[in-house]
Amino acid sequence: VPPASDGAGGPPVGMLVGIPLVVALAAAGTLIARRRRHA
Amino acid sequence: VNRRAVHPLAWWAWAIALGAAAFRTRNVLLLGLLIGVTWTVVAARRTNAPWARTFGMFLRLGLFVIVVRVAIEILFGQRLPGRVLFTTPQADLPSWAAGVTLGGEVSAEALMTAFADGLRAATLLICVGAANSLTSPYRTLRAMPALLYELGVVVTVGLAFAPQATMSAGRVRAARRLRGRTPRGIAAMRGMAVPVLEGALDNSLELAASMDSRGYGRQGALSTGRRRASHLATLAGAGLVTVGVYGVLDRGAPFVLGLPALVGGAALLLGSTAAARASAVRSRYRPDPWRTPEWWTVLSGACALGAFVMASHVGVDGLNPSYNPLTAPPLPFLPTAGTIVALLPAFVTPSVPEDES
Repeated sequence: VPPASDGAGGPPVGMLVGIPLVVALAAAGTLIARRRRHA
Repeated sequence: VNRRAVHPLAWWAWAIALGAAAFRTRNVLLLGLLIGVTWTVVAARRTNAPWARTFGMFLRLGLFVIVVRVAIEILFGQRLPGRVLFTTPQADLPSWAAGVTLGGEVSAEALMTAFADGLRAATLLICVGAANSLTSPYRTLRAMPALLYELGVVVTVGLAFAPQATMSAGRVRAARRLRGRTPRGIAAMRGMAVPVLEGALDNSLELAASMDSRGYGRQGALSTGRRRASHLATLAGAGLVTVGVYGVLDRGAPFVLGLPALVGGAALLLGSTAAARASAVRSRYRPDPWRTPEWWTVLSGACALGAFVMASHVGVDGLNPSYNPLTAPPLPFLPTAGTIVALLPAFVTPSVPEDES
């Protein structure tokens, strides 16, 4: 399985995909928690 | 789908699998993903019960672990060459303390490595917190196999301590507020630590005593010799399984300590479980069902762990990235996909009963 980025030199694809993914998950969790609290 | 609580053992299996997966990586992106997945599932499926707040407690505990790990690195860490961020006052240590440093240059590489180490421990803690906040400790105790009745008090205190600590913290905080003292800050924490821990232990022991008095751990007619043999098998089996799990998780351990120890220990435990079940005299009132959602939950956790194990065996790049020299960690596909699959329980499990949501 090839890595999503080569780490050295090339664009940090891992970071560009990984960080938004982590932020999206955190936001989704918070949104669900808030919606359930208000329901 | 009817609203009902998912079997507690399914949640524990899912969370432990995610924790074991976290143990195999030092990639901060993958660890962040694992934390994100547990948070989303907990947010979607935790109840309104007091123990559901355990997740926040474990999140704070994880943060504390990271801070301590980084602080230790700054104070005593190895002074490897790299991009120096700042310098702390350095103390000259006597010659017998060779290899130990106190203060000195702190490099970005050393800080990042320490942060990744701390984040890994924090992720493990957060997974345990997720299991604690998704399951009722009382239901978990009811679902324990007959083999563990013998350990009665130990198991009860072990399983109920974290949820009881959360409940105890809520009570102590409320009492402090009523007395006009602030429940925030370091001073408040100092005043609260002992009552919270003591209260949690007392409550767990009380629970264990009340369960004992209702027949939990009661044994049927068994000869002393057979009982001793069963105790010995349980103890040896549990010990072997512990060593085996360590051997499987740690790639540096000798092979004998891995799978053979795990299988041998499991066989011993199964044998003593069968013996314990034959002599158990306890009936079970309205047992929690184990249906398709429970299988999906366990499978999704196993999928994540399997992806990490396979990736480390195949030698996928980026599972344990080196932060020296400092480069952006890659996002390997296989473990990422496995982690996303672990999100499944947020959708396939029934929603929590209305009176508990």
